[in-house]
Amino acid sequence: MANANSNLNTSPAADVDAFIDPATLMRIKNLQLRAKVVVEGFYNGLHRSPFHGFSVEFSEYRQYSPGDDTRYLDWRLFARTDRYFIKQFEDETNRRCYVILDMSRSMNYGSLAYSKMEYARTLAGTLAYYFTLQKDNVGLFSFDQAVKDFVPARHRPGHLQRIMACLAKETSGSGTDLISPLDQVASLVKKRGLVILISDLLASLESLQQSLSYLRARGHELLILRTLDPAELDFPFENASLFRDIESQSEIYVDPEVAKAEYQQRFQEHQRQVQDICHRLGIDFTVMRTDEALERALFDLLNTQMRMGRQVTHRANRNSAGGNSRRNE
Amino acid sequence: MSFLTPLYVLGLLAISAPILFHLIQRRPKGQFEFSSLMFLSPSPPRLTRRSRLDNLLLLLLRASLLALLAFAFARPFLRSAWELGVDAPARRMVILLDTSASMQQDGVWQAAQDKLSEVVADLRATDRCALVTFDESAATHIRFDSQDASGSTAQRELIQQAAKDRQPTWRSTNLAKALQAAADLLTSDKEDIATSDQTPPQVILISDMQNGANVQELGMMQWPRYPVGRPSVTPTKTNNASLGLVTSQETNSEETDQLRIRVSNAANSVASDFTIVWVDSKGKQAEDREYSVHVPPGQSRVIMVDAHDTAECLQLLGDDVLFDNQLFVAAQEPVDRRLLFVGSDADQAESLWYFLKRVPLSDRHKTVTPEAVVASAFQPDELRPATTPLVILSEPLSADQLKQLDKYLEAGGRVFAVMTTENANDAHLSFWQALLKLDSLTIQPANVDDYAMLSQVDFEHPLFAPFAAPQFADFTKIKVWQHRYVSTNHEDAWETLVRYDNQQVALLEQVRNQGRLWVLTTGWNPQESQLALSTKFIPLLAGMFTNLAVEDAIQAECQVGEPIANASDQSATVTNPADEPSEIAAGQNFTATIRPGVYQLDHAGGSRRIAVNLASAESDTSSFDLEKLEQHGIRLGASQTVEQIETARRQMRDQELESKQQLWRWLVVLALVLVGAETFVAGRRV
Repeated sequence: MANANSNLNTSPAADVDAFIDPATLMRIKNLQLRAKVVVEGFYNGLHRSPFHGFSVEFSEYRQYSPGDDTRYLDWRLFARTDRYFIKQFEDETNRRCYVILDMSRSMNYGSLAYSKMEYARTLAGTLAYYFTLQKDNVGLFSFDQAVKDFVPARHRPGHLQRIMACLAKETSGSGTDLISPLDQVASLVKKRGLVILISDLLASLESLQQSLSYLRARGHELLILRTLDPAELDFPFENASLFRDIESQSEIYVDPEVAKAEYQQRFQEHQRQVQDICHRLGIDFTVMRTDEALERALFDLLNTQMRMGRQVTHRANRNSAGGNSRRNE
Repeated sequence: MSFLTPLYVLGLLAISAPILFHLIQRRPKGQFEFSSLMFLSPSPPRLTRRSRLDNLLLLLLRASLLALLAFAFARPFLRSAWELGVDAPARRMVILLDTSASMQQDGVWQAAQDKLSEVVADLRATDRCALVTFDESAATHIRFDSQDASGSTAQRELIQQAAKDRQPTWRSTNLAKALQAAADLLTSDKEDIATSDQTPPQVILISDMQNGANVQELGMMQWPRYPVGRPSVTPTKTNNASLGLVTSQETNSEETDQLRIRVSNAANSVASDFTIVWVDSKGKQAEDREYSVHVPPGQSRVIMVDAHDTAECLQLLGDDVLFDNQLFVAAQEPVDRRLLFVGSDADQAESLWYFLKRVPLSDRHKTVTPEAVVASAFQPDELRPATTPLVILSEPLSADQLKQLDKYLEAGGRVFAVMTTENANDAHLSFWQALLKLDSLTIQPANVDDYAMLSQVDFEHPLFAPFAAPQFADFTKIKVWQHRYVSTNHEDAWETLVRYDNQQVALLEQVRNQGRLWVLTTGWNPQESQLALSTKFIPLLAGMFTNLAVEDAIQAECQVGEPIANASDQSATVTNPADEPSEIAAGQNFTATIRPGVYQLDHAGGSRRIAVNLASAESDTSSFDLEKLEQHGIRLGASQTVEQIETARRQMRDQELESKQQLWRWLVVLALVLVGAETFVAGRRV
C-alpha cells in the first residue's frame, strides 16, 4: 500500500537502466515473447532476492485431530505445551491466480506510440507467464460492460497459449462498468486465490467498494494495477479543441488553459477515492504509467505475496502465544 | 405611433446576433480523442482578442433589415387621427344572491355581502343592475325597470339596502330556478336587443356553490349563453356533519322506542367523531346519555337512538358548521284506526272473524281496533277513509248500504269482500252483481277434486310487490279446499291479482276513483282454505290496510318549505315553534314552514305534532364540481370590470385602425429594398 502514492511520482527515468524500456518492448509483435522477455529479465535481477522460497513458508498451527498425518506434528511445541499441534504450510496447494483485464474502449487511448490496452495486455501476459513458470494455476477474465472472456485457472500444457489468444482480442464496448464484472468474478470463482485487476478505473466509483469488499469477503487477495497514460495524468494539451469521448463518442469543447486545473483536481479526487477504498479493504493498489517498466508490476506482486506471508506468520505467532497464555492460566 | 402587437418589437434584439457572431471566435476545427470526459467540463467560447468590426456598411444594412422586419411584424399604426372619446358601454347584469340555509354557515353570509358590495362598487351610472335572491325559489327584488337615471350612487344604495334587508332562510337551494329567473329577467328586458351587440349581459352568481344545490335540474333548462360571473364565497369551516331520520318506510322497522338516525359527514370534513344528545326546547341537554358515532368523511352511518319522552330535538356535537346540527323529532301519539268486519263475530276457530281479529296491524303511528258488525247494523254512511281505511265484507248488504259503500269507495275507502259458501250462492248473486257493478256476473261453486293452489300472482301490483323476492314468492303452499268460479262477459271488468292453478280467479281488484274493491273467491278459514294459516295473510291484510292516499293524515315530519296538510274537514290551528298560532281552513295546507322546529296542528279531532327539518341536501356543504355547470352549457368566467371592457374595446378599435392604415406593407417594401442593397454591397466585397 505504501507504494500507491509513491508510484505516481516515480520518474520512469530512474528505472531505465535496470529494466527494459516499454517502448522498445512493444515493438515485439508476439505477446508471449514480450512476456517472456520481461519475466526472464526480472528473474535475472533476482539472484539475491530476499523473497526466495516464500512459497514453502510456514503458515499456522492447527490443533491435532485424529486422522491427521502424524508426520506434521510439531514435537517441540508438544514438549512446551503438552498439546498436539499440526504445522501447516502456506504452499500446501498451488495458488490460483486470476487476472482481470479491462478491455473497454477507454483503454484504447494512448498518447505514446502504443495504447494503454497494448500495455495492459502485455502486463497481463507477463503476469500469466510468470505464474505459469511458478507452476501456479492462472486464469483470465476480460470485460468491458460485462465479462467477455473467462478462462478458468489451470496449469496444464497449452493453457498459457489459450490465455494469450484471449488477450490478443480487440477492445469493444461503449462504456466501462466495473461493478457487474467484479460481481460476476466473485460468483464464478469459488476457491480463494489472488485476483489482479488491470484497469484504468475511469468509471464511476459508486458501489465499487461493495463489489471489492465482496471479493475480499470470499477470501481473495486483491491487487489493482491502474494503467494510465501519461497524458491522462499530466493533461499536457495546449490548444482549445473538441474532446471526443473514446467510449461514448460524446464531444465537448475544452479550453485546456481553463480546464487543466479543474481536470487535475477532479482526477486527483477520483484517485484519492480509489485509494481510500483500497486502503479500507486492504487491497494493494498501484498506478502503472504506460511509460514505466513492466517489471514493476512483478515487484508489486512479490510485495503483495510477501505481505501475505507476513500476515500468516504473524497470525501463527499470535495463535501460539494464545496457546501459551492459556496453558499458564 | 402605436403598435398592435408590440411584443414583436423584441425582435430588435436579433440585431445583436450578427454583431455577436462577428465577435465570437469560430468553433475550433481540431478534435482530440480522449479516454474519458468524466473529469472535463465544457469551457465557454472565448471572444477573440481582436474585436475590430469589419464591413460596417454590411453590418448596418443587415441590422436595419432586421429592425424593419421587427417593426413590420409589430403592426404599427397612427392613433392620433382617429382618436375619439368613446364612452364605455352600458352594462346589464343580474346579481343572483343565494339565501338558502347553507348560507348560514359562519362568515358565509357576510362574505356574500362583501362580494355584493364589490360588484356594486364597480357599477357606473350607465349600468343597469337587477337583484334576485334565491333559495328553493327565486325572488326578484330590484328589476331593470325599477331603476331611473338617478346616478350610480343611488343605484348602489338601492341594491345594497335590498341585499341587507335579506337574511338567509332555512330553505333548500335550487340553482336551476335561480338561473332561469335571471335568464327570464334579461330576455324580457326591452333594451336587451339594443345593447347586446356591444356587451353581453352578465349574471353574477354569489353563492357557496354547495353540492346540494340541485344542479341536476339545470339539464332541463336552456341557458341563453350569458356568461356567469362567480365571485367565490368559500366557507371558512369545513367540518360539517348532519343528522337525518331514517323513516320507517325506508326500513320497515316497527321499533316503537328507538329511532334510526343517519349521521352524514361532508366529503371535505376533517373530523370524524361526533356525539348526539337530546336537547329540550331551551337548548339544554335533556339527559346525560350521549351517543358517540364515528363517520369517515364523505360517508354516513345509521345509529339507533332511544326515543325521549319529552325532548323533541337531537343535537349533533363535534362539527364546526352549526346551522344543520339539529334534528327535530315529533313525539307522535299513535292515531286510532278501525278495521271494520261486516259479518258474524262468532269467536270460533272456523270463522273468518276468529283469524281476522288476531291480525296485528297496530304500529308506532297507529292503533288499529278490529270491529265486527253484522250486516243489518252496518251503517256505511258513517265511514271515513281516514279513520276506517278497510272494510271487510262477509255478508250481503242491502241496496242502500251498497250505495253508501260506493261513496266510501269513491272517497278513497277500501273494501275487501270475501265469498264464502253462505254468501256466494244464487240467492245473493244480485248483491255481488251490484257490488261489482256487473250485470253479467255469474258465480258457481268450483268442483275441486282434492285441493286448488294459488299459483299465478301479479307481483307487480303494490299489494303483492313485497312478496316478489324469490324466498317469499311461493303461494302454492296455500291449499284451497273450496272456492267459486266468477265470470263475466265484460272485458276489463276487473284486474285479476291472483289465479288458482286451474286458471280461475282467486283475487280480483276493481279501482273506484281513489278507492279499491277486492273480492276473494274463497275464505281464509280452514273450511275454505289455508290462507289464514299461511305467512302471507298478515302482510296481505296490512297491505290492504295501509292506504297511502290518506296516509298524509298522519304526517309526522316534513322539510322546511313543505306544506302541512289539514286533512280534517274542519278548520285547524297550526302553532309554529315560536308559539305563534295561525288558522287554516278545512282541506287547506299550512305553507309557512319557514324554519325548522316542531309545529303543532290542532283541530277538533285532536292534535298532531309535526317535526319540520332542514332539507338533507342543504347539509352537503362541500362545493360541487364547476364542470357540471359547463356541462349544462353555462359558461363560467370572472365578471368583467369596466376596465376590462374598455380594454377590450380599445383593442378592437386599434385593430380597426391598423387594418385601415396597413403601415406594415410599406415597411416590408423598404426591407426588400434593403435586401437588394445588401446583396449588391456583399457582392462587391467578394
